[in-house]
Amino acid sequence: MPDGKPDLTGIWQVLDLSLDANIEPHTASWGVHAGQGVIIDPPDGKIPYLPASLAKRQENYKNRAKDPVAHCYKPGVPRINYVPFPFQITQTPAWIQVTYEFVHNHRNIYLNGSTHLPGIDFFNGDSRAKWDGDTLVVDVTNLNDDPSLVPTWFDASGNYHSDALHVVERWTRTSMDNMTYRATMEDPKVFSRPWTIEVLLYRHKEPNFRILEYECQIFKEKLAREGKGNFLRIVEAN
Amino acid sequence: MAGFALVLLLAQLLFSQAPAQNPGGQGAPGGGRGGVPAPPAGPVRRTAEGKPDLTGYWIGATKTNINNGRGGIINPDTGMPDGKIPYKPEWEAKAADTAKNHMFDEPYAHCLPAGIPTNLGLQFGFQIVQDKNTLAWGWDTVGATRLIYLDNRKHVPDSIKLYQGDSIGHWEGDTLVVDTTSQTAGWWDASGAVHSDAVHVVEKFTPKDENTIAYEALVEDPVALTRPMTVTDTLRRNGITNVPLAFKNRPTGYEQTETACVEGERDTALYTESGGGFAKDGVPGQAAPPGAVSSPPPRGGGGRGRGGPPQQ
Repeated sequence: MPDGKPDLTGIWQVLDLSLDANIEPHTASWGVHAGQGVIIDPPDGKIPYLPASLAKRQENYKNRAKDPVAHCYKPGVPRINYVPFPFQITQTPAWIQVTYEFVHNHRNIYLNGSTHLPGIDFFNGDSRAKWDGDTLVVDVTNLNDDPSLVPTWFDASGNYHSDALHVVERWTRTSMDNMTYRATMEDPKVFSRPWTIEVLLYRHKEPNFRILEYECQIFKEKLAREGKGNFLRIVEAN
Repeated sequence: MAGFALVLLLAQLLFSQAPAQNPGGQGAPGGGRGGVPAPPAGPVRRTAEGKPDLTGYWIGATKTNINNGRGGIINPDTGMPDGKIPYKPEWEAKAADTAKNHMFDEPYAHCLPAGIPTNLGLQFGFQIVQDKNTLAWGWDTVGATRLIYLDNRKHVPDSIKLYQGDSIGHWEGDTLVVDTTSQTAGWWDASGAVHSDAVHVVEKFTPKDENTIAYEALVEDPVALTRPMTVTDTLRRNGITNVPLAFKNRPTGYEQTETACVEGERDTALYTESGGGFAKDGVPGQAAPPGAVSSPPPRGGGGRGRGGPPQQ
């Protein structure tokens, strides 16, 4: 970029389409290919839940038709970066907009030295960033867990967090066509220790490729109007 | 405004006044409602490449009804911005019927992006982040987005329909010219001024100083209109005056916050059957089928559907 910082612009997407279903190692299920997950720490690839939290997660799994993303809600951070939809990064020195195809989600990442906004929670959090060498480090707080608003999950399997969640993202463009996306999750109410995912993002190189639209809620509404009100994601059929 | 974000509502409770509005109200020059004059505007900001830099927060006049003579439509006889939509008679009737019987179909009520140029006339403004290849937009209302590509690419096929359309821009001197195709059928305002999916829009953004952009949109819709119409507006930099309390004492100033429309949406359950919605007539919110909305019990402001049943 003109300011000498790495250029993160482009249209990016995850290739492992099973991550949105489950970020832990998993065998195949209906509509979901098997996958090794993306958790690089702890080494067993599993989320280090506190015992009580693990029980809550298993309950979420049983009720996974309630997956917020299946209801078209904002996926939250980090999930929004590995739902199976592309996103585009538009970059200026002090302000980045990440524009996601999934239900016109967009995130502001501020690099202007500002602090987190006090007292307001957001589905996609509050993102303040700085550069660490060639890596964009984004500190994400103010993540919503209000049960009346359907708090975000890490995937469609019910992996969840509390409002104490603190995410540190590390975006590193490793080549023209790849970005390494790391996110470390800290939430002492739910996890026994911090844990980290690493996701490889690929740049869309197709000629004329662009962000289109997925206005999910309109499909949901149509199903409801047709009397299929309790509409379910395919994963629930499993 | 329909589809108003619950999270934003919560945010607004923290503010001492409404979020930054069109400074001075519709068309009024200068200072904010609070009597704080806007600082004098400097020259047009520019990118490293020397192009105008439109990065920032902007707001136009609120246009809930563009057909009332104050919607910025140019009257071809006088050249004044007090014209009306040059509808074909059957579309005039269709718009009237929509206003009377189909307010449930208002795009905002379903958290859908309003389209172009409708989106420029929304109440709470929008942001632009501009880099060399793209202008990325984000709206407060329904949290809509728009990407304008500047690399001379071709449009997507017309068979792809998009609520915001497909926008390709280029610079003509200091004027950004944006060609938008592939829009779905939609509304030009919040009052039922419907248009077809044959709509084609060419917008011109001409920055006048760092805080002002002259806006002009040539709107063609050979299905609904007898002739193309030109819609004009003045976009002003937002968040300078009337800054919400949450941002007032922050050195970095105003920011547009997240709008969670789908997540907080209850309008579709509140609209009555006679209005095209789920609720039994006279019993607001009682007849939504299971799963129609995964809504929490009303709290705070409840639904805010324009044209919906009265709020409790």
